[in-house]
Amino acid sequence: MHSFLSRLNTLFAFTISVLAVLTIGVFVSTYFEKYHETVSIGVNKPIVKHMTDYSANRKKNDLGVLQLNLDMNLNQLFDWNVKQLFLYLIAEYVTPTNSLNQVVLWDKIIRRGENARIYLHDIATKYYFWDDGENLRSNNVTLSLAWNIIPNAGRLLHVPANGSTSFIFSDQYTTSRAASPKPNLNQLFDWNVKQLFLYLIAEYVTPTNSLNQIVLWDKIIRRGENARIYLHDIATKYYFWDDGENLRSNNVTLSLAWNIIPNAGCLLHVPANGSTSFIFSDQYTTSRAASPKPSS
Amino acid sequence: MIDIGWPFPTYIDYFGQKTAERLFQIVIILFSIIGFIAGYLMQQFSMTIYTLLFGVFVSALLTLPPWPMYRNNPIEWQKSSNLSKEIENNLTTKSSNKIFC
Repeated sequence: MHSFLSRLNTLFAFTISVLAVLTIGVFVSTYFEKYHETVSIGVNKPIVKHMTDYSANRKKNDLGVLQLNLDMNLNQLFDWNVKQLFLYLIAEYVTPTNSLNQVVLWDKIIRRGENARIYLHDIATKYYFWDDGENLRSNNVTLSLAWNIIPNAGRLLHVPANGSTSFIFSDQYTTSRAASPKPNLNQLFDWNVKQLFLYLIAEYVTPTNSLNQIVLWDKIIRRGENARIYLHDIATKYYFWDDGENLRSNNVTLSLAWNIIPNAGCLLHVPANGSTSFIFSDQYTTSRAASPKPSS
Repeated sequence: MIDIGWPFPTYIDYFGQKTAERLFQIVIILFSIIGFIAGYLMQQFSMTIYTLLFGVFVSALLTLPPWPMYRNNPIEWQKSSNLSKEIENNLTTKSSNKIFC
């Protein structure tokens, strides 16, 4: 303590000792914390495919395909001893060969300070759901979420969440074509349906009218005709005139509906499932910029 | 031993050293307790560390430079005697004794 450097040395050593005591204090203050939280997990459309797993052996294995819904709020877990969370979603199921299979389908790292509210709807799994074999059909699978708490000081905790869900895979393989069925109206034609009259309307609100409805496209499908419709980038069949000047920046909803013309009975009006909305731009477009023709 | 060659002396006397050590220990412990409570209330460990570092800075300011308050008890040296003259006298008497042996 007789010179500047020796005083600096003593001060520094004492500071480090105090820091160590503080860190032990942080650890002790959160020793009994349990870090439990409730989450909500959902599954949509679980199907099983039979494909060659090119990353493993070249045999054909079962591949499970499903959409996940996740809803959780983990902001309460971040106390002063939590540096980050590592979440992972596992699927557990039993097969004749293994008493327990666990496959990680999704994971996420949430650092301190990031928003820990997660709401994911209908997302694909982050990792493939390969089965080591062919035992996914009709299998009862449980999805559960768990997390690791990475602390500032202390033990690495593993905490299972409250809230898991189970589902059963179908008992048939799905071929890739049927996996995502395109909308097909052939099912509507029973013995009492003579023809369908489809029409697409655009609905929007203007200051003058509380509801405007404009038919943009329609079609008659008679019995016996192919009712699968796939149209891409077609122009609207009818002009989309507005009675006024209120289309700019307007939120328009397109929805399809059909009339069932029966052999005998009531003329039914059925709105379809599946509509879309869009917003027009806020500027007029001049006719030269509207349809750029390819220059030869 | 590495030493910084300050243009001014940085020593402090023994009582000053004792005061300085006690002072920085108390200041740092005080700030660490305040920091611990502040960090616990805000649930932010970084707050604790920043408070402690501020306390280290304050105590460094108080104890590292050689303030005059640490030099109030200077070491009292004995008066210097004519030591060189006595050695010379002893040597001459010894040498004269030697010739006769």
